[in-house]
Formats: sequence, C-alpha cells, structure tokens
Amino acid sequence: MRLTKPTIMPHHPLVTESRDLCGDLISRLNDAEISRTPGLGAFPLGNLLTLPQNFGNIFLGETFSSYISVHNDSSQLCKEITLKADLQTGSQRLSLSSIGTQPIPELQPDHSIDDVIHHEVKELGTHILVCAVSYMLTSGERMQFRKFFKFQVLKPLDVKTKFYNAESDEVYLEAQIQNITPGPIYMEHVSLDPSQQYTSAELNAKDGKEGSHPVFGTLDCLSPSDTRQYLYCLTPRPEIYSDTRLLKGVTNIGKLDIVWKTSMGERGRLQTSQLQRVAPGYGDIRLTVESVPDTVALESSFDLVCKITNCCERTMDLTLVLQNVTSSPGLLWSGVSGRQLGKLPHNESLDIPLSLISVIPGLQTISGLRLTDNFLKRTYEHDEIAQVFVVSVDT
Amino acid sequence: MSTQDEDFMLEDEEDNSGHLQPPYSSLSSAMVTSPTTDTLDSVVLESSPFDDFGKDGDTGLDESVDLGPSELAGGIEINIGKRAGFDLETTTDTEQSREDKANISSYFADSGDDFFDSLGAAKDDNQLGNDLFTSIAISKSEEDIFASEMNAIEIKESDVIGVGASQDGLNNEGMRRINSFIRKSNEEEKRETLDNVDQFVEIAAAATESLSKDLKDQGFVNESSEFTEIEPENVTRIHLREHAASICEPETIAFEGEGERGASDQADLQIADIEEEEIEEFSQNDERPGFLSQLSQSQQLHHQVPGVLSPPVDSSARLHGPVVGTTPSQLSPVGTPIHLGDGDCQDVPALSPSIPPIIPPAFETQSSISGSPFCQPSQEMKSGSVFAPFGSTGPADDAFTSILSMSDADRRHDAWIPSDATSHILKTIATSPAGTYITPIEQLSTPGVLTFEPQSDPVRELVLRYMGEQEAIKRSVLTADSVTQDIDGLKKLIEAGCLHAAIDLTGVLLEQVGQGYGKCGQVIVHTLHSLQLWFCRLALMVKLRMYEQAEAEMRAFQTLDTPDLYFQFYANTYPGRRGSMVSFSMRLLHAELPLLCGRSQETLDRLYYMLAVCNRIKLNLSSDLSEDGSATHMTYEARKVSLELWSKRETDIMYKIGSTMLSVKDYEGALIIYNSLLEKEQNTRLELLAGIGRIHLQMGNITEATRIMKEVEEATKTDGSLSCYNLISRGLVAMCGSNFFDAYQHFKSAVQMKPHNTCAVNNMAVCSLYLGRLKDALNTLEQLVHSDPANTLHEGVLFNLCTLYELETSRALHKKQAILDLVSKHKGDGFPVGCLKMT
Repeated sequence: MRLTKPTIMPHHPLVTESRDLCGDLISRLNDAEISRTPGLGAFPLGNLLTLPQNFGNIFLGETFSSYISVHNDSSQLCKEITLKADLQTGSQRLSLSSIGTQPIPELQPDHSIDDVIHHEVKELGTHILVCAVSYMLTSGERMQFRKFFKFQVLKPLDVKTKFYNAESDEVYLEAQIQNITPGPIYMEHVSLDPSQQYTSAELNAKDGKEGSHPVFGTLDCLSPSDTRQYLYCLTPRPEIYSDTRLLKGVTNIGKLDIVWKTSMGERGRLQTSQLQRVAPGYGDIRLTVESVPDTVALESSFDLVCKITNCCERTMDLTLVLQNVTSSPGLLWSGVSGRQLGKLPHNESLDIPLSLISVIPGLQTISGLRLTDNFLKRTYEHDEIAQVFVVSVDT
Repeated sequence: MSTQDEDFMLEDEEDNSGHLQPPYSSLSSAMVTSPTTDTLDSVVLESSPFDDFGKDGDTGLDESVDLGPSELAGGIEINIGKRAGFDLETTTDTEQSREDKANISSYFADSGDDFFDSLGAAKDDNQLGNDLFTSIAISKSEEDIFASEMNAIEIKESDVIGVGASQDGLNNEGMRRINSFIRKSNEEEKRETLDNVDQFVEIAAAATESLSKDLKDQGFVNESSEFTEIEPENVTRIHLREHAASICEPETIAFEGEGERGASDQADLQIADIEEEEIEEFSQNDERPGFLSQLSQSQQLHHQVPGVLSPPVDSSARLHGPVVGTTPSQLSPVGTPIHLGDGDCQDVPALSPSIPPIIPPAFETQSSISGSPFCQPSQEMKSGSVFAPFGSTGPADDAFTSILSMSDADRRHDAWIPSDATSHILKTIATSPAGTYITPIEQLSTPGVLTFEPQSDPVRELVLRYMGEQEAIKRSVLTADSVTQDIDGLKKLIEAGCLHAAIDLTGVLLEQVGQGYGKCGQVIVHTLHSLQLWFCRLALMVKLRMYEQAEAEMRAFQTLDTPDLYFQFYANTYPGRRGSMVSFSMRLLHAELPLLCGRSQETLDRLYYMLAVCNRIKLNLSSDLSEDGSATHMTYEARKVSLELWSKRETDIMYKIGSTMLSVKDYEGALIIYNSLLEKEQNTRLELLAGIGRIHLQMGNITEATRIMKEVEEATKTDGSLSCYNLISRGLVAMCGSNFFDAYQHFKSAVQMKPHNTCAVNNMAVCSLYLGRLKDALNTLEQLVHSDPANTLHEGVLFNLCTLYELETSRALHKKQAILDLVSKHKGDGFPVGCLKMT
C-alpha cells in the first residue's frame, strides 16, 4: 500500500435550530460524530485521521513511500524468506528494501514481515515496483513469487525563465513557476543558487511597516494552474571583471531550488538544471553610464560620465560628436563636439565627462552621442543612453 | 513482467485500494468506497502535459529541468505575465468583498467592481497602442462618475463592442461615429447631465449594434491575429528599456471602483431611514449567477437609491424567467421582471406580458396608513395584513391582531427579507381583495416526493449478501411501518439511527398533507408543518449523502423565495404573521446542496446572499426597526435577543462559507473567513484557532501550524481538560513533518490521558502503520471497536480498519464480515456502509 500522508476526515454538519422539527435529534447526531471538532461543531476539520484512500498522484521530486507486508496466510511454517523490493524506472533499477539480503529464518502462520520503503522520485514516466519473495516450505521445497506495481510519475511544476540584461552588467532573472498539479501546493521555499560568477538578490519581498514581507500575499499557496513570478537580481562578482570573457557569450547563472508541500505536509523538492544566459554582444564599442543624476532642475546643466570600452580586437582612434537629436528635444548637449579622444587599445576603457542642459520638464532621454573610429571611418551611434527626470524648481 | 503470476493478483488488489478520484471528492464526500478491482495498474493518470522540457528533476544531480530560454523570448510570455497580474487583482477584490460582509451594499458594490476590473483587464490585453480604445475607457469613467446609477450592462455592452471594433481595426462608418460621440463626451464632460450621458450611451449602443454584424464576420480570427501582431512590439520595448513594467502596467479603472465603493458606503449608512424619492432598479440579464443588484448613489444628484435584493438565480428559475426586451428589468428569483415605481403600489408600471395584470388595491394606501397607529415609514415594508380584508373583521381590528398574534419569538425566528419581486407580489396580494390576485404557478413552490420505492436498509443488504439469510433475518431495526405514522414515530426512527426508514416516513407524512409522490408541480398550500417535514426529509437525505435526490426534490422550491413560502401569502391561515415559513436551517441546507452536487460556486452565491440578508436584518435591528425593516415597538430585551439570534445565524453562514471554500481547497479564502470569525467568537476562540492550525497543516504550511498550535497550547496551559487536544494537535503537526515516531508518542500520551477518546486511539493506530507496525495498528483499532461498539463504530475508524485488513491479508473479507456483524447489531440503517469497502 502506498503510504501518502493520512488525511483529516472532513465533517459536514447539518445546521439545525431547536425550533426545527427533529432539530435537536439531528444536532445530537452531529454531536455524536467523532470527526467533529470538540466544542466547535460547525468547523469542517476535526482531529480524526484516515488512511490514504487511493494511490493518488505522484509527482517528480516527491517521495514515494510504500508499506510492504508479507503475510503468511497459510497454516504452514515458512522458512528462509527473502524479500526484495526493486524500483524499475525508465533508466535504472534501484533496490529499496531496508531488510537485509539475509533470509529471515522463519515466518509463523498468520505472522508477517513488514517493511516501509521510501524513494525520492527523480524520473518522470512509468515506474514499476517489483517485489520478489522467495521462501521454503517445511517440506524443503523452494517457492517464489513476484509482484509488480506500476505507477506514473507526473510533472508538478512548469518553470519558465527569462533574462533581462541591464547596462550595469546586472542580470535580472524572471522565473515563472506554474502549478500543474490538480491541487493547491504550498511553496515552502524558492531560491536561486547562483553560480560562482554571480551573487544573487531576491526581489520578491517588499518593505512594509512590519519589516519586509513577500509580494505574494500572506499565504504562500499556489492554486492549480496558477503561475507565480519570482524575480532575482544577479550581480557579477567583482573578481570576474578582470576576465571580460566571462561576461561574454554563454554563462551559467545558477539553479532554482524549489521546495513545496502539498496536503498534510507531503514534501517535494526540485532543482532546475543550470540556467544559462547568452550575454548580449556589445559590438565594437560598449558605452556604459558611470554616473548620471536621476532628477535635475529645469534649465540647469548637469553632468554625465560615460565609460567607453573598446570591445573589439584592434585599437581604435575615436572622435566624439555630440548631436542634439530631434527625438529628445528636452536635453541639449553642452560642451565641445568633435573632440578627439585619442587611441583606445583593445579591452581598455575611457571615462568621458559630459554636460547637458535641460530645457523641457518631464522624463527626458539622453541621446545623440556619436563616436567615430578614425581608422575605419565608422561611426557608432548611441541613443537612449539614460533617462533623467527634469523638474521645475521655481516653487 | 513475463513472470507475473495470476495467483497473486488478488493480493495486488488488496494492497492497493487506490483508485483515481476527482481532486475534491475526498473532502466533499468523505468516504468513497474503493472497488476492490483497483490495482496500481488500473490507476489512470494523465500523462505529463509538458513533456517537451524533458524534465528529470533531481536534488543532487544536474540533469533536472531543461529550461529553454529561447522559447521564452516570445511575446506570449509577457502576455501571460500580465494576465496573471490581472487575475491577482481580481482575486484581491473578491477577497475584499468577502471581508466586506459588514454591509450588504458594499458587498454588492464590490461585486460590481470585480466586473469592472475584469472588463479593464480584458481591455488592457488589447489596449497597446490603441488610442481609440483608451478614449472609450475614459468616457466610460466619466459616465460612471456622472451617472453611477446608470444601467451597468448598457455601458458594458457598448464598451465591449467598441473594443472589439477598434481591435479589429475596422475603420468603417459606425466606428467613426462612436469615436465622434466619445470626443463629444470628452469635450462636454463638465457640463454633461445625466440625460446627456444616457442619450450618449443609447446612441453609442445603437451605433455599435450596427457594427456587431460586421464583427461577427471578422470575429475572433481577426482578434487572435491582432494579438500576435501586437505582442512582439511589447517585447522589444522591454528589451530596450528597463521601465517596460510601466508600459505593461494596467491602466485599469481602479479609481472607478473606489469611487463607487465610497459612494455606496454612504448609501449604506443612510439606508435605514431612506425615504424613497425615486427608486431605480437595474439588473443585468447576463450570465452572472451572483447578486443581480446594484446599490449606488449618485453624489452629484443626491439620489438615494435603496438596495435591491434578489437571491441568486438558479437554473430552474432561469427557465421560468421570461425574456424581456430592452427595458431595464429585474431578474428576480421568480423570474418576474418588475419595474418598481415610486414605492406606491398603485403606480405599478406595465409588467411583463407573462404576468396577469394585477388588480388595483382595494384600499387607498395613504389614508389607511394615516389611520393606523403603527405608522410605518417604509412603505415597502408595510405590513400586508393591515390592508387585507378577511371575513367580517375590519381593517382596524387587523392591525391589532397582527401585533398580538405574532409572538416575539415567532417574529424573531421567521424574519426574512424577501427579494423585491417577491415582496412586491406579497404586497399586491395584501392590498388586493381576497382571492382576486392569482399568483402564476411558475412563481410558486410546488414540491412533491419524487421517489416511490421505499428506501432499503443497506446494512441488511450487505449482511444478506455476505452472511446469508439467517443472519439477515436476525437483524432487527425499526422500519417506517414499525412505528406510529406521525412525528413521534419519525423521532423514534431518527433516534435509532434508522435514517432511511425515517425518510420513508417523511414521504408518508407528506402524502398526508398532499405533497406525496407524484404531487410535484401541483399547487398546494404550504403549512409550517409541511415545510418542516420537507426540511427533515431533505436534511436526512443529505446526511445519508443522497445528494442528487435531495437536490431533485429541493428543486421545486426554486430559490426558497416564492411568495407562497411567506406567511403573508396566507393571510387567512396565519393572520398577521409575517416572515418566512421556511426555516433558516432549510435555507442553509438549500444553499449547501449545490456544493454537495459539485457546484461550489452556486453554494457560495447562495451563502453570500443569505449573509447579505442577515446583515440587513441586523442593520434593521440596530436602527430601531423590526427584523424585516418595518417600524415596530420592541423592548430593549427583545431587540437584544433578536440581535443575538441573528448574529449566531450570521456565524453559522460564515462557517458554512468557510467550509465550502475548504471543500474546494480555497485555503486562502477559508482562512480569511475563519480568521475573521476568530474576532467574533471569543468563547470558542481557541478551538477555532486550533482548527485554523489544522487548515494550515492540510495546506502544508507546517511552520505556521506549529506556531498556531503553540499559541493554543500556551493559552490553555492552565486548563488541564484541554491538554489532551493539545497533544493530538502536536501529534498532527509531528505527523505532517514526517516525524511519525514523535506523532505516535503524542497520540499515545493523549490516549493515556483520555482512554475513551476515539480520535486519539484511531490516530495512534494510523501512526503505527507509518512506523511499519501493521499488527499494532490492527490490534489497537480492533480493541477500540470491540470495546464499545455503540460509540466507536464510526465510518472513519472502520474505513481505517478495513484498509488495514486489506493490506494485511488476502482474507480480508472474512475479517470485514465480523465488523459487519457488529455494525448490524449496533447500528441503524443510516450507517454509511461504504466505509467497509465490501460492495
């Protein structure tokens, strides 16, 4: 028999009032019910446990437990009983029996050999529990039989991920976890184990009056086919900046670790494989914003520091041109355009201080930075570099 | 597999009593028999719907989930995310509405909000870059502010069609016209009067109507293709900017909801002393099964609109409901669209053709009221008996009779507020000359017994099958024939646990009052007695889990709101009595039935309707009116008792709502309900708290459960009598944490403390099994059952015992027969034999 957790027997009382015909009698029937909550007749969950009614569903990451009982129904004594319980999965065969391989000397009539086996399910699809029993009759005749129990392991969760690459080399991971079981599940623990290149921060809680609390409400319960989105921010460890190759191409981000509980604390745990992201290519020149104010006063000038990194294999000779583009009329460049930046060798970077003047209030986008490589006469256009909020300060 | 031996199949079967069940059945119908033919092989499990990931799952190994990031780049992901966001919002609103049980009106207003929210959600899906649409949304909000009492459905229809049109990108005549109207409304927004808006909506609706035909042609195909075209745009935006979230942010119409809620709250405060200046009723002829009423107040025009009550409509009522054209009509439980006038009966406007014309009242309403010493401010709640002429007694006498003949207790218990449609009919009857107003039959309750065959005794049948005729003859239980054919006999049967026989007897007794077999559909006169018989019969059916039959017989009662279920309908038989002849318990039963038949939403609708009425009654009581809202003189004591009664009833409803939610595993909803009950029920607070702990356990939140159980334990430290229950709670927590040995110890201590606590003994036995001690478990349970069969033969215990028998040996049937024998000796025919798993 599969040992899922026992359930609490539900109690559905009939509500009657003493004025009703036979109302008292019916309420006496309710009171005699032992599955009810003492002192609280109308509550639907009492204390009475019932054994599992059926095999139910088993999901990946859950633990399969089963009771194995070899009972001597005959009137004869059996000798040298061996019991083997193997689980045949799609790829392997596991021995689960906790009873040693040594045969048990004898089994009296109406006695039994009992064992409870556990196995954490790690494969999807068909599983077959094979129980083999061999024993010797008093006559010395060797007997054996085998029994097979088949069950399907289903997938409990559907996980989808998505990466957002920020300019600052941070990576935001959005993970959508969907409950595809037929019942609600309680998400006990969801975390991201980052790989060695990254440190991770959870963004699933908001700060409230009583400290931070998860954004998912008070109850970490996921109804069937509901999806929940988890957000993580991954920052590269400082030491890997020395080797920029680590930030390029395909990198391992880490694994999601999910622990959930279903009815009566039936536990499940899954870990995803290494999540991989393809880092965005930056082309020949990578421009990052080192510093920019988020709010500036109207009709005032403010400073912007950009960092230019030569990402291509050759040395570049750069000229900086500042254009006031029509797509962002709210900000005007202030300073010299057409400045020579000089040679920039491979993999080296250069900070350039710039200055702008705000002329229109509101959220304004910084655009119109042009870099020309004098060797190849190639111009790199950088628009929508950053955004600032321009406020009028006359009050 | 080749060596599989047929000889051992039998044991296979018994080892695994498993069979696949619908997910909820374990709660809704406690113990379902498992056919012994079930083996593990027969467990039909649905295959994994998402095989494409090749998920392998492993805590230690790296082979597990293969996530395809490439698949996720598509726009569809974002869309899903957005939808989820909206869903969340809508649920929160539902939560709020559940919490808002304190007043009817805000509940209604909230359900209206839901509706708007979902509308907003639907819009936002299509909304990207659709200016036209946005303008519709804006104009809609204006309408709402200016004319909050305008018929919601009209607005919605025009909007929805408008959205569809814009989404399809149709640039045809009709669309432009809508557009221009919208602009017009934008320009005029400040000066616009109610009439203008009304007119606008009508024109807009007309314009969109002409569109709808075109839409049908282009219909959904266009819609879906439009979707895929829009979405990539959204994706790129997100990649470009980190502010993408703000793009996705729904521009919902949340502010409308808040505005309306605020307004309705005000209306609620004033509801008690409203003088109807103008009654406007609107209802929605849509599919929403919930509350069809809106309570709102226009802040600018200072119109006070009284709430409209009508119970949730069930399918049978809907069948009767005549389809009304475009005029706003009320879908009442009896399916009578009635447009109430000024609250004056004489001004009844034209009714739907399905209703015979109502004969004008015999008395001049105003004059008789002024002559009455019991002048009632609310005309709607006017006592019918004042105007009903019966026999030789004059109207002046009746006013006194009505007060005298109606005892305090009667009024208190029978009070109920009929829906507006029903109260209108009742009022009409009261004001018509006797016998001149004939209520259409489809608006009456016409129940009848549906089963002719007598109920059998399932225990006896099992005994006969497995133990032979000899044993079956020995079984002596009461039957319907062996007792007197009256209420006393009925009581005797129920006392003896012969519930099947009791149902038979109720059938006989109902036959005596003309509501027996085959009488369904015939007009009969209800009496208190007959309705109580029905309650008893239906309650017993539910007790015996004959849900389908109970529902079939209950169906004739429609929504328990037909006029003939009120005392006012029988002014001759019950002079002066007012209120519901149907008991409150029967209403609860009626509300619960859909859940038992698998329709939980309908149950929730009915329960929340009852809650709304209950709250209205409490509000009436606390504002110096009688329960049903009429003016009356009540002593302070009487009022207090009445409030207590209705508070208790409210609690009963809340418990039912909670248990309904729990049945469908809506843990969040159930916890909200029960947590709110914690405040109210100080006497049983700890028991309830422990119960909430068990809900957490069932859900799987062991940490929270542990915390709650600790709290309970702390609070009951001094009370030794409760320590047994604390031990059981501890055991449950340990068991959920898979510490079966600890759990066993806790249960064992509990048993030592109270050896007669069947629950603790049973739980101890269950734990033994998980520790690999089948023999111990069996011995414990057998001892329990044999020691005190009269009290311990409980279906849960026997189910456990029989499950253990099946596990233990292939000769389980023999052992079960011994149990059957015990049951046969000690239990009546109402015993749930399913737990023996012998059938």
